[in-house]
Amino acid sequence: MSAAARVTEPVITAAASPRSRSRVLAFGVTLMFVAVAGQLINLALRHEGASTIRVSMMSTPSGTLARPDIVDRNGRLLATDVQMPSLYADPLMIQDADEAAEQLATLFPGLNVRELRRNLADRTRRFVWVRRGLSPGMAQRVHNLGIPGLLFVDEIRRTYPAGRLGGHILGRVDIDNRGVAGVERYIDEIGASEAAFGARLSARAPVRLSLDVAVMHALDEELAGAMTRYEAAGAAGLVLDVRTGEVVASVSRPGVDPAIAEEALDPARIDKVVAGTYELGSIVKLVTVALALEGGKSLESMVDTTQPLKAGRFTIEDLHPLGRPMTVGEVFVHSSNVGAGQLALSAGLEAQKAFFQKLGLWGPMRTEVSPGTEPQKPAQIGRIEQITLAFGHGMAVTPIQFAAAAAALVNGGTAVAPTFLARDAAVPPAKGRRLVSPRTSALLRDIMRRNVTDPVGTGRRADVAGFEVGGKTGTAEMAVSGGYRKKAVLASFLATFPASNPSFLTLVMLFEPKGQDVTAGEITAGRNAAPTTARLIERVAPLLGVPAKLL
Amino acid sequence: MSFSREDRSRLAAWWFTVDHVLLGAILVLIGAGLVFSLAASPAVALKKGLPAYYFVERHLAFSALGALLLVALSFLSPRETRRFALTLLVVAFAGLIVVAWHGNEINGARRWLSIAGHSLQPSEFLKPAFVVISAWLLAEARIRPEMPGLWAAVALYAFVAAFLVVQPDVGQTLLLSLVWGALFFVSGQPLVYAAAIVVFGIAALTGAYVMFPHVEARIDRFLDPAPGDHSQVDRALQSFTQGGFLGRGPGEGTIKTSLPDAHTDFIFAVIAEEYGAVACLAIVLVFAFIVLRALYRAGREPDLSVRLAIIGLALVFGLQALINMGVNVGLLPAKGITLPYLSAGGSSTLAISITLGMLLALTRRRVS
Repeated sequence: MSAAARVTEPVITAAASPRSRSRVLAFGVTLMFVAVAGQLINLALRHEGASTIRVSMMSTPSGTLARPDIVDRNGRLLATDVQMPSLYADPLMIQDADEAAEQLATLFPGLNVRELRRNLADRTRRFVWVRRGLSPGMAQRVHNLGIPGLLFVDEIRRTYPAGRLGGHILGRVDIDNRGVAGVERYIDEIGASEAAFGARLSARAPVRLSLDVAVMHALDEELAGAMTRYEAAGAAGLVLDVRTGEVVASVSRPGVDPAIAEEALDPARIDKVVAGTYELGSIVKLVTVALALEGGKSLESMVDTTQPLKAGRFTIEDLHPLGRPMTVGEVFVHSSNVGAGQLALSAGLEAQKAFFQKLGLWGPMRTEVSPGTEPQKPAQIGRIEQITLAFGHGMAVTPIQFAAAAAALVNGGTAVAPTFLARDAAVPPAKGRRLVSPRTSALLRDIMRRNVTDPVGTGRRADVAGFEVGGKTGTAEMAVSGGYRKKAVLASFLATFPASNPSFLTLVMLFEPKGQDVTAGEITAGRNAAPTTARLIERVAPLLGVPAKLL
Repeated sequence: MSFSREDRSRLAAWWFTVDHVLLGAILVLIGAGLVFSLAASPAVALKKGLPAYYFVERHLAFSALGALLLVALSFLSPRETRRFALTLLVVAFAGLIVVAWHGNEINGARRWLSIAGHSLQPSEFLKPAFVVISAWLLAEARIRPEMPGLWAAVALYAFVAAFLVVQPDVGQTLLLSLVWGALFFVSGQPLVYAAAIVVFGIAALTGAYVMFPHVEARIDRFLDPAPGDHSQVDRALQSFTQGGFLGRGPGEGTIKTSLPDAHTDFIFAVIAEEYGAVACLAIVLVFAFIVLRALYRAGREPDLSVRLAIIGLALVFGLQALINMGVNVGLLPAKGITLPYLSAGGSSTLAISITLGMLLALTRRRVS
């Protein structure tokens, strides 16, 4: 049939319209449907990919760290990571930056609304943190605002279930969960933390500290009680294992909560055990007596204490002079400044300085939680400095540093390196470098014990039946720039128990205690720090596994 | 339903001649629309301060009305269908003129007419009527070349397109142009003419790009997705990837709370997020089935005018679905075109019912 013939028919047949053209049309339409279906499958396949995109977003250099748990020596939790939603915004998806910022401000009163509004309105950005580490309830409230462009991502945040207990030692982490202080910083330094992919928690074994939460708590309570009882401005304490150097407890009040950054930065909340340096006063006489004993003297050697010591324009005299020569032992028990000065002078300047250096009191002492604070030493040492150093003035060291030296003096004479990490109990403790002879150490333990048992000993109020407490008091006038404050003292008590074969050493320090009825109006360490130590040892000795020897 | 073959009533005649498979597929689509409207629209309604089931109830009402309209129109004979289309064309065109002078402006375009508290979009109703009449004119142009059928078809197209462009409704103009061009091509006009129309179409598109800032912006944004505000399409794409194949589960979607047009233009994305790509593929399959089934029936239709009308109606319906889904999955630039029966919207549902009602009427088997 010709085309002309076809068009003349009254009802044109299907053949008039070329069948091939209909097929082309149907084929085209089919292609379009296939394209949509293909794109659907393509997008759905990206489903798994979507989560990897998220992961890579969080593993960028600014991403957070996954940290191992921190536990005490008995495995009790001190710090752990938890997953929490963090809120961010995609400014490109925010429709009304002003309203979004305003609504968020109602939920987060602390938010900087002006900055947030500017960030949300910045359409060149696709990622702006709003608030990190939200509680699930808070996240739901944000979600309920129904503002497009506000999105959540799970992040890991550090939490400290023990609150302020151990806060100084644990240190803290920054917003990206990186350790910036204390044990947290140490964990990063030894590489125990890892980049947190997709808010996955660390699978590494917990870091076990030498601290014992129970002993920490007892020490914290006793210090708090003493602060109230003696109206002290601050207090600090330490329990040290003299055999291994493990710090079983270390408390400084007022404490810090690792979760509150402001507290860690508050100078009033400095760690008085590890970071602060203080003139410790008469407890340093332990070092001076050790120096004399190492120099060949015995506890019965006589010291001339009849006259006050003169050095230039200074005159050193005792509070209650006996008016007669004393033995070395009596210098210790009566805490004679003149006697200690005489012992230092007779040992000689070089020997005295070398002994301080040997005991590690001349430079900073490094621990896991701190690089150590440089001691404040006299610019040059003359006769007067020799005398004051002998009774603990004119030089400031960290208390933990002094405790380490004292531990070496009483443990038989070998060096002790304080540590905040638990030691592997299966490995016998390595013997430290010998610092003093076993004889000197034994004599020092003996005299410390005598200082507590002697009815006139300054440490008599520290005695605890059955635990053989030995110790030394120290009441140091607190230094202010250019001089000393009268009536403002640092009252300390250094103790070890059991004195015949010491396991532990305690140091209790009370800052600016006031005279009370119970102290007969006095502010000396024997009246406040010593009885506080007694209460402490009575309470923690059973926790520490020290058997009581009751007759 | 069962009827005796002896039954000569109009109902029985309809039942024996209507394309059951096509009718079934359309009813499946209407049912799916009701189910999915429960997914998206309560969230949008609450956000707008309306009762939760405001849009669901409206959807139900319009779906029921649409289904009635669909079945009623499918009773028409081809001749009645053409008359109905002509009447509708005149009425819709009148509506278009009224809208041009005092219509309600929504989203920067005058497309809506308020009738008794309901807003209607005359251009929606214009589409099926225009297609049927164009098909008739193009067929006439082939059957009776001595009559000016071709010129009438071109004139009708130019007139309608001009009015839509003025609105301005570039999307609908594009849709109608595509359908009209396809009909022209299939009607058997020389390929040279068809080629000329393609050239004209490209020129017109370029013109729209230059003349309408919002068209330019949308196309630019589509071609260069980096900067600027394309959050709606972005968010829609996210929901496809987040849904995966099986979806996050009914009610678990999040896009519906963040997209203002979740219940209309972006219902496909909502379905993807909650029910997954499998559900979306099923929907694509139903649309494709309806279109291809209609094209198949058209191929067996002896009357050119009826045949072209079937093709045109199927294309109007199918292209509308394709454009909407294409925008949702990011294949096409953003365009405010609804997904037949699935998107909420009275005008759209009724207009689609008219389209498919006429399609069913024309695909009924006849003795010729």
